[in-house]
Amino acid sequence: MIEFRVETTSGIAPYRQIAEQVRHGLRLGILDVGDQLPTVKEVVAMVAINPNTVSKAYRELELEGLVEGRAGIGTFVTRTLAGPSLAAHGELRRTLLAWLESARRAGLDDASIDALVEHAFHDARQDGVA
Amino acid sequence: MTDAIEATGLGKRYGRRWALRNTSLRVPEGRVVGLVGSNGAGKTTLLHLSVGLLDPSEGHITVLGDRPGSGARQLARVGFVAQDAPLYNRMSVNEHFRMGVRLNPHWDATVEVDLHDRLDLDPRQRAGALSGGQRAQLALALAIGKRPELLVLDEPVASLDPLARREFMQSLMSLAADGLSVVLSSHLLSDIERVCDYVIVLAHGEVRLAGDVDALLAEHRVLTGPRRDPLRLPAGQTIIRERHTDRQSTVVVRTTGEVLDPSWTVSELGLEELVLAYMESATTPTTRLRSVGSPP
Amino acid sequence: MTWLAWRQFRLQALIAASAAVGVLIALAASRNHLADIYSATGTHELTGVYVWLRLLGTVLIGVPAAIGAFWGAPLVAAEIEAHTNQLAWTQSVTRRRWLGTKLAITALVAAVTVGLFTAAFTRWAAPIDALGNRVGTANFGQRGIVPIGYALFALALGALLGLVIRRTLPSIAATVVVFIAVRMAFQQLVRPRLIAPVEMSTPTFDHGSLGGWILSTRTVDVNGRMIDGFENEIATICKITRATPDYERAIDACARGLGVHDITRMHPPDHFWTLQYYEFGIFVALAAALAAASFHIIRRSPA
Repeated sequence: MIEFRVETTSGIAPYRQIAEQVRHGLRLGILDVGDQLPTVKEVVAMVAINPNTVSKAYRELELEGLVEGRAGIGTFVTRTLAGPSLAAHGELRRTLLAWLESARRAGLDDASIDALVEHAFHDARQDGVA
Repeated sequence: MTDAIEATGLGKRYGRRWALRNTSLRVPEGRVVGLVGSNGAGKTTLLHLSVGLLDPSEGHITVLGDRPGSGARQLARVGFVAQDAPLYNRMSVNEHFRMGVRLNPHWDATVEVDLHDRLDLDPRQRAGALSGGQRAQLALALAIGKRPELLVLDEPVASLDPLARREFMQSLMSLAADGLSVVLSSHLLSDIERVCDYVIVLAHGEVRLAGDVDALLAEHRVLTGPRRDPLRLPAGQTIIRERHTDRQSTVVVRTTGEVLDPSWTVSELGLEELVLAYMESATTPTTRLRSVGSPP
Repeated sequence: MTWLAWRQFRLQALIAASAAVGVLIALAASRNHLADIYSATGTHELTGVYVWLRLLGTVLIGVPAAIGAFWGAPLVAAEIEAHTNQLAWTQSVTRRRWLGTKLAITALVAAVTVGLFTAAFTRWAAPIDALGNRVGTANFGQRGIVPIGYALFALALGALLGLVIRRTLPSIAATVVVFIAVRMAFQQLVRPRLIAPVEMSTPTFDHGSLGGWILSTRTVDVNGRMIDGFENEIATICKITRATPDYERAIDACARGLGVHDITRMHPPDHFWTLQYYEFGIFVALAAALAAASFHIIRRSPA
């Protein structure tokens, strides 16, 4: 079961936060095809947000073909975003952790690491790598 | 479908002072409505009018299709938690539920069990000895025990600590998920943003803005650009609030279409910012509100 | 609603009932002894504990005012002050039923306790009254059934003032002031006219008791003309001076000889129950009118 968090100070509409967290779960394999998403009532009791917001997030995911609402039962995952790349996650994660370790040793704090990653990401995108 | 609340030309006067004027509203059923405004803007007056604790000085209000407080049947359809959750301090928690059973024909006994499950209260404890959070929860349980179709709450979380506030909102949203219409007033815009899908902004006893939150956000934009004073905007764009520094102008507009002027940086705004823009526009005379109303 | 009204009122009801029972026991225990003293001595001078017990009558005059002040005035005002009316008035019960039930229960307890107190005191004081005067203003309000009427009136008055003034303490003060004013005005202006008084001819300078409520006395001569400064006139005619031995008796004899006598307008003791019924009825009617006014006002009263 996926746990939602909603942050109102983030400036991102709550329904988008919910939808994004589901996509995130699908990407990381936390959610798989056939899994049931928490019901609207469960979500609002968990994070205290408007029920229509949850419905709206689920509707958006449904339009994207990621989930399917079954009347009277609930909402189920129909497609995953993890794909074949999921198998590579473990190895990539390990090298990334090793890299973070070396960055720390080099004296970078969290903000500097963030900035560096952001910068590299940006350059890579411009070079057409990412 | 009948509206949860419908008001036309509604006004309430205390002596010579108008606490609320020219209020026309239609709030559909099944919504969680946030009522916001500064102190003295008329929030409590509007809520009291909608539960029949006050009578209008002018105009009309109907709640679920009937005049508020017009009889025992109408009273049974609307649950209310007044500001600071008044309870009988010398009566125990238990006795409050007995009162609920005696005074309401469709009483739901599960609210009592549910409250004890969640809060671990001593049923013999006097209401006067409860914490603010416990009082609010007990008052809410009493209001929903009558199985209302509409729940009206006046600043329900104002006196609660963050944890109690979260628990209260969780209970409330579970109810909303079951289809209960809710109207609540609050100063806490972050709470409103979280739980409400419909918002009403009051200032100086008048409605400045009312409507579906998503629809309202879709029609408003913040424009930032080089200073322009006086400011002229194309038809279809209404200035809600403008601010000028010596170099820059920042304008909140309500617009029917896209903003095409390339000299503006256009961005969306959140509910909190939107509400503040309307509240401010009502206080600063130089940035007077030029158009008010709810979307069609 | 009965449950809530009783729950809110039961403590006061219990206190009132205990007080009434205490009074009942004290009066019952001393009643026979009091009757013995009276039949033995034929005096109406009381001593010791009886002086204190007789003060219960004075207390009885204050009880209705206290009921108005402490039960009536807070009935609505205390709820408005604590905002609990906002809780009560949004339950599935109309405000009229809410007020009606609260008033009815309080009125019932007030009527029963005051009724018991008064009945006990009336019986206890019967030997005193047999020699004295229960129609007079000092005793009338402590006997019979009028105290019940006063209590109901004070209660309805307090409730109405509380509803209008909306604050407990000022309502209590207003209730006491208005209650005393109405009670006094009624005693001075209305009660004497409820039924026609009796006119009696009595010897002038008769210092004995008539046993009734004397409204007025005028001295007339043999032709029925009112006379003024008669004592000096009579003294001159009969040549009586202050130095005359047995001055008072001499004056009396002289007046009788001249045909001078007093005409006294009064309510004799046998008017007691008729006056009681009328006054009780009027105060109950006033209470009903005040309660009706409260029912009318509460419908539109702001919370």
